[in-house]
Amino acid sequence: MATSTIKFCVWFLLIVFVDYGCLTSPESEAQSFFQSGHTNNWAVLVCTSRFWFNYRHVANTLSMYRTVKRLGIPDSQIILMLADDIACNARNPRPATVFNNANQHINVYGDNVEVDYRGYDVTVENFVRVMTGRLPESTTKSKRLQSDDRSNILVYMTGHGGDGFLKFQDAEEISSIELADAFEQMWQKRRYHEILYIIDTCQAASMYHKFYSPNIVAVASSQVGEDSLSHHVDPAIGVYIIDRFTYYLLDFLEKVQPTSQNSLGELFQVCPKSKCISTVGWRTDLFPRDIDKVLITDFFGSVRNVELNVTTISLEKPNRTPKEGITRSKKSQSQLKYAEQFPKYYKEDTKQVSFSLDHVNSVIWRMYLKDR
Amino acid sequence: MAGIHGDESQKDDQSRQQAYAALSIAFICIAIGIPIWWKTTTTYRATLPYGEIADLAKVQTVCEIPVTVVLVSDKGTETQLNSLQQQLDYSLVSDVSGRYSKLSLHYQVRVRNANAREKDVFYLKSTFKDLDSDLRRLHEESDIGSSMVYVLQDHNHLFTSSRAYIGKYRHAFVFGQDMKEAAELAARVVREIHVHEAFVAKIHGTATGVKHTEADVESMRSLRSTQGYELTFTLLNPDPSMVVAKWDIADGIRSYLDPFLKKLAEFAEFKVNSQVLYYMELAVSPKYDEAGQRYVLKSKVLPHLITPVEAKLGSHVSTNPTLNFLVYVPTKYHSPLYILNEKDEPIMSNAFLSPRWGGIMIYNSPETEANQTLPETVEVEMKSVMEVFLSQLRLLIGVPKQKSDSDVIIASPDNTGITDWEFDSIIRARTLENVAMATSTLQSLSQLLGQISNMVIRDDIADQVYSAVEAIEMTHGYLKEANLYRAFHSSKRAIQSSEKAFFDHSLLELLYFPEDQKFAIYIPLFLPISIPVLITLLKAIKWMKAQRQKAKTKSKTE
Repeated sequence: MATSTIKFCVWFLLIVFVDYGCLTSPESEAQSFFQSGHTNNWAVLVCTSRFWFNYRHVANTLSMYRTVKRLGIPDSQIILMLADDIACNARNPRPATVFNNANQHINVYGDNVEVDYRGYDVTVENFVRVMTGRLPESTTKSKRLQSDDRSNILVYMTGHGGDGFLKFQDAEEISSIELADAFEQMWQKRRYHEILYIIDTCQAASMYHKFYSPNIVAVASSQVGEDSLSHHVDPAIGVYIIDRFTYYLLDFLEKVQPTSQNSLGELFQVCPKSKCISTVGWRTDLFPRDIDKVLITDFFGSVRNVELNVTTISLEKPNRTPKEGITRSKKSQSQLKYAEQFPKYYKEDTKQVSFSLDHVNSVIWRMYLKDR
Repeated sequence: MAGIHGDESQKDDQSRQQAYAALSIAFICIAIGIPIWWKTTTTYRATLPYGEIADLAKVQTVCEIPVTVVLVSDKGTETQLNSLQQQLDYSLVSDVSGRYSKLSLHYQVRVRNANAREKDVFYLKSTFKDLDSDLRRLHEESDIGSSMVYVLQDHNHLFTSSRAYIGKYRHAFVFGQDMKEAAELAARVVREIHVHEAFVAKIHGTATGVKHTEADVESMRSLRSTQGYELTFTLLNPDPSMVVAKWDIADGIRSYLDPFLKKLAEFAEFKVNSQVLYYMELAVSPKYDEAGQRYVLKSKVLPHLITPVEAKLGSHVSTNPTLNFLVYVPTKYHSPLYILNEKDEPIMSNAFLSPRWGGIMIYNSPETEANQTLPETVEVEMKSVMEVFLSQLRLLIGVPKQKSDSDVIIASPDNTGITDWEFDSIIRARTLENVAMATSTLQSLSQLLGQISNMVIRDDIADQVYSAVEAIEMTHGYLKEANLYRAFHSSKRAIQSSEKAFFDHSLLELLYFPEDQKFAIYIPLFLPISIPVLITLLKAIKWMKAQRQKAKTKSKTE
C-alpha cells in the first residue's frame, strides 16, 4: 500500500513539475518561429564576361536573378553585376530581350531588372570592394552590400575561368587566393552569417579550394582540368544561350516555392555527370550544418523570422491646444490647382523684356566706361 | 722599340680607361641606383601603434556599477546596516567576472540609512507611484548607470502581491524583514532587472566575435551598433475603392513618438519617414473562422507576409539601417482580421515584429452600417497604433525583454516610452558593444596591414587609428570610474574612428604578387643591363689585380 501511494506521489509531483516548467517559459513561444540563425538574405550575382558570344553567361546570371527575386529577396538586397551589352547589342535579332531557352518563353531581361554595376564597372576591384565594404563614401546605398552578422549571402559567379582564376571582362582576373582573402575580410568584420558560393565556369572547383573562413559552402560546375559545357544553341539567335549546370539548377529551382522544404543536398545532386558532362563538386568542410538539413530558402529566398507582440506599452493622450487644430483645417481648405505652365514674366509685355535688356546693356556700358 | 712601348702604354691607357669606366658605372649603380629604386618602390606606410592594439585585445573591460541601498525603518540600527552590507557583499557579485572572461561587472555597494527627507516621503505617501515621483524629485541628478534600492521593513501595506517594485526612474523598492532575504532580493533586482547581466554579457560576447550558428532571440532581435536609424511608417490600403484609410501620422509622431526619440537623442540619430501605399494586398489569404465570425491568419504564415511587401516599401538614401512599421487595414471582404498565436487564440495587439526589420500591425476598422457610400473612409486612431509600434521599436533598438516574475512588479514607463533604468541598460550594452567591436576591428586591421606589405597606409588612416586607440583607453578608464555617460560618448568616438579606418576605400590589396612573379617583373628590366656591367666590372678588377702584380714585380726587381 505504502509503495503504491509513494508511486502516486512521485508521478503527481513529476506531472506538476512538468506543467510548471511549461508555464514559466514565455520565450518558448518566440523560439518556435526562430528556425534559422539568420535574419536577412543578400545575393551577389556576377557575370564576368562581355561580348555577344558570351550571351549564355548573361542569361545564366539573369535567370538566377529572376529566381532569387521570385523567392523573395528584394532588389535593395541584390547586387547584380553584368556587362549588360546583350539586350541592346546590334547583333541581337530580338532587341531588348535576353532569353535563357530556345523556346523563348521567358524574357529574363524583362521590365524590372535592376543592374547595380554595368558595363566597364564590372571589375575585380569593384567586386572586392563590394564584398569587403571598402567603397568610397559617395557610393549609393543600392551599390553597397550592407550585410551584418546575421545575413546569409548567396554569391553566384559565371564566366570564363581557369585553374585558380576567373577572367573578368577579358581584361583582368581574380585569383582564388584574392577571393579567399575577400571572404576572410568579411568574416573578420562579421559581415555574413553563412555564404553559399556557386560558380559556373571551366575548372570552377579551383576557385573554392583556397577558402579558409568558416560558414562557407561552395558548389562548382566542374573540377580542375574539366571544362563546363553549355546546354544548347538557339538557332534563331545564333549563340549558345544557357550553360548546363545553371540550366539544371534552374530546372530544379523552378519548382521551389518560399514554403518549400527542399534541402541544399538535393540542389547539389541535380546535375550528375550524365547530364552535366563535367563533374559537379562541392565543399562543405567549412560549413557547420549538414547540407541535407539546410533549406534552399535559407539562401535563395527571404523567409523572415517573426515574433508575436504579446505586451504593449500604454501611452497617455497628450493635451493638444485648439490653435493647432485651426491651422490644420485651414490647410485642407486651400484648393489645389495646376501650376502655371509658363513663368509669369514670359507672358507679360515684351516691352518690359526689352526694357530689362536695355537696362542690362546700359549697365554693361557703364561698367566698361568706368574701367576705361 | 719605342713603337712597341707606345702600343703597350696605349693599351694600358685603354684598359685603364675601361676599368675606370666600368668601376664608375658600377659605383653609380650600386651607390645611387639601388637606394633610388628602393625608395621609389616602397609603399608609404604611416606608423601605427601595433603594440598598443595588441595590448588592448588582452585587456579585460571592467564595468563598475554604483549601487546604493537605503534601509528605511524606524528602528534602523548599526548592526542591521552592517549585516545588510555583509549580505550584499556576498550576494551582489556578478556572474560575469571571471579572470579569463573579457568582461567583468563589478558592483560598488554603499549602504546607508534613510535620511529625514526620505523618511518624510515614506511617511506621507502611500502608493508606489507617488513614492516613486517624490523620491525622484529628491534625487534630481542621479547618475546614468547608478542604481538605488530602498529596503522597506515596516510598510507591509504597500507590498500586497509582490515583494519588490521597480520604479520608473533609477530606484526600486524591496520588502525585507530579514536582512539576508532583503539583500538577496535587492541583489536579484539589481543584477537581473536593472543591469540584466545575461543580456549585457551576450551583447559583449557577440561583439568580440564569438561564433554563433543557432537562432538566439535576444541577440538576433536588435540591430547591431549603428549611428542612427531610419524609421518608416507605412499605411497599406489594399482596396481604396471600398475602404480608404487615412491617418494623421505627423500628429501621431509628434504626440507619441517624439518624447521617446528626444530621450534617446544621444543614443542614436533617428529620422522618421512616412508613406501611404495603395493597392497593396497581403500575399496570404486569410481563412474564415466560423466560431469567432472573423478572418484569421495563423502564426505560421506570418513569415510569408513580409517579403512581398518589402519590395514595394522603397529604400532610402542614407546608409543607416531602416526599421519599417506597417499598418494594414483589411478589405471589407476580410474584415475583421486577427492574428492567431500558437494556441490559436487571437493576440490582443494584433501585431507581430520581425527581428532587425520592423513590425506589422493589422488595424480592424470599426463596424459600420450596411448602406454606407463607397469608398468608406477610415480614420486610423494614432494612439493604439503608436502604442504597438513604440513597444516594437523598443525591442528592435535593444531594450531587453524582462521575464515575467510574480515576485516583482515593474512599473510601466511614462509617455517617453522608456524608463530611466532601461535607458541605462541600453546605454551600458551599447557602450560595451562599441568598445568590443572597436577593439576587434583594430585588431583585424593591424593583422591585415601586417600581412600585406604593399598596402599604402595614409596619414589620415593612421590618425583615425590613433584616435580610436585613445578613445578605447578612455572608455576603459571611464567604465572603471563608473562614469557611464562619458564612457558611452568615448565609445561612440572609438567605434566611429575604427570603422572609418577599417572601411577606408584606399585599403584595398589590388594586385596579388607571389614572390616568383616579382622576379618575373624585375629580371627583364635589370638583367640586360647588369650582365655587361658585371662582366666589364670583373674584367676591370682582373686588370687592377694585374696592375698591382706588375707594380709589385717591378718594385721587386728594382
